[in-house]
Amino acid sequence: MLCDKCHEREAHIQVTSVINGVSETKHLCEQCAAAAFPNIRPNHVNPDTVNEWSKAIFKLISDSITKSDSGNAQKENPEQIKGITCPNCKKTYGEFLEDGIFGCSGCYEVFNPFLQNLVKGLQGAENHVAKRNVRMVSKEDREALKAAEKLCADSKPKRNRLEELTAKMNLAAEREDYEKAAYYRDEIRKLKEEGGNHG
Amino acid sequence: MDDRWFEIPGKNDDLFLASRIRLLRNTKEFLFPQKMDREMRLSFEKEVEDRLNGLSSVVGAPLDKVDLNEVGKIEKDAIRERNIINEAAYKENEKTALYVSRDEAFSLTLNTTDHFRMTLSSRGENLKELLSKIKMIDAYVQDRMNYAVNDSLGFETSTLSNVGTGMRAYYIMHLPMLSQDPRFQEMINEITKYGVVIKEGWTYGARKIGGIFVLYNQRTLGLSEEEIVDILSNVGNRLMEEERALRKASNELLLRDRVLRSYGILQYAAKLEIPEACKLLSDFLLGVSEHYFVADIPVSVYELMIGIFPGNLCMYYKKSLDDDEMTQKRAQYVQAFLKHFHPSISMEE
Ligand SMILES: [Zn+2]
Ligand SMILES: [Zn+2]
Repeated sequence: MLCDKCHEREAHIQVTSVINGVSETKHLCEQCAAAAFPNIRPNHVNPDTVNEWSKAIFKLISDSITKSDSGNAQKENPEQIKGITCPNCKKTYGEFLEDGIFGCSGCYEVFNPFLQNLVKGLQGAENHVAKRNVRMVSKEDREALKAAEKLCADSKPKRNRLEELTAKMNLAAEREDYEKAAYYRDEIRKLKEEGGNHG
Repeated sequence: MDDRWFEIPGKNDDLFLASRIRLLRNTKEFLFPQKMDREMRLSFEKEVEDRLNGLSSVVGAPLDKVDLNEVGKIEKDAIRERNIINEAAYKENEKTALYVSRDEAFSLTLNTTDHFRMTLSSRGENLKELLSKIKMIDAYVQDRMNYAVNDSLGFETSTLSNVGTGMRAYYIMHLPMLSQDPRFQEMINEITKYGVVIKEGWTYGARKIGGIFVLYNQRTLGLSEEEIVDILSNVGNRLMEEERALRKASNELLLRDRVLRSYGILQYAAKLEIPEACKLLSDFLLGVSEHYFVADIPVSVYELMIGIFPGNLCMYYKKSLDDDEMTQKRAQYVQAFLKHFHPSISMEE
């Protein structure tokens, strides 16, 4: 998908804003999104790292949503919402909107009424597929998995162990890693002895 | 001294340099890492050590605890380049605890952004097998650590960008021909529609050069772990087919010239910078994959490629290197590897 702004590069960042109940999703490339945050650089290698970049993106989304939330919600004013505090870790919803980081499992419960739009903005989906039973493996599946696991281990390609150890020993000696070379020499000796005992 | 994961061959490992799955998990019993103080971190680490004392048998390899404060900068750099730890663990290592299996295939980092960050890696096209294995590891941990889970949002992670499965699945692919094809950008746009991110630059310090790409799922919510792996496998396979087709259809003389020219420079270079090494090695690997060489030892492409980065290069020579030494040693390191390859086609032809 191409970036909605420059129409040139691929879009990796999805930004959803909800204004007057109408949600609009924009897909931006990193360059165009970065233009909005000139002091921040995206992390290309580890997408699971919380860094200034991901915080900025979260802020972009949370800002647009908070604006629309406060426009819609007549009964509570935005400052009141931001003051909602998790009794367990003392994180406020306002703090959460700033950094996007939950302080504990309790935050999920306390902030739950406000999370839906944020989740949709970030993930494009609202619900996890495995409802209720949130675990990857049920107890019954465990045995089947173990069997499958054993199969995988058994089918690993077997190489000529002796040749391989010899090559590794030579390589280690070349690299002047004598500790490792000695280790392989001993392994080779063991292997040869085993062979001798059987034959 | 066990074989490390990248020394064990895998399916289509000339194109799929690595498969990797990463899970993030938290327990209900402790505040999440952002709110933990030192005392709480220590008691969490102790609980983990007590309750997960059988983890190594589930992982299937001995686990070593690595103290990131103790290892020194070179080794820490090397560990990051090998993608064992992420940026957060690298920067805030005094807060984290790291366990790595002897074969380096499995790692568990405590208290980075989330309580548990588990990764499992293997060579080749192997996400399905990795998924079934990491599921077992996850089940073992979940049975003992009382995960924070949510009926509608799945596994509760520290940030909403990982909520749901808390999973990212990765392929690291070498696509030297396809990435130079005019249709490639179009394909990337297509792939993005399936929620798969594809980026050149696959490890810390790697530049956008050499045609090595990392593919991973953008979303963690709304899809099952199996669906995520299926989508990535389909995309990975499609890319492999395109790459192979291009190689088949390519002009043999041009291909051979590209491979052997780069091989020649690698063999005689007195110094190598990272970008040039990446480009030349990419051409060389293309040649290995197309059987332009025979090797006299089992060779791991991932190991070769990772070895040119500063931390791993210093580890290899067991000393710290200044910039000039680094470029020289890089050339020597590559040449030590190349000695084990012999061109399998006549050069005078
Ligand atoms: Zn753009
Ligand atoms: Zn909380």
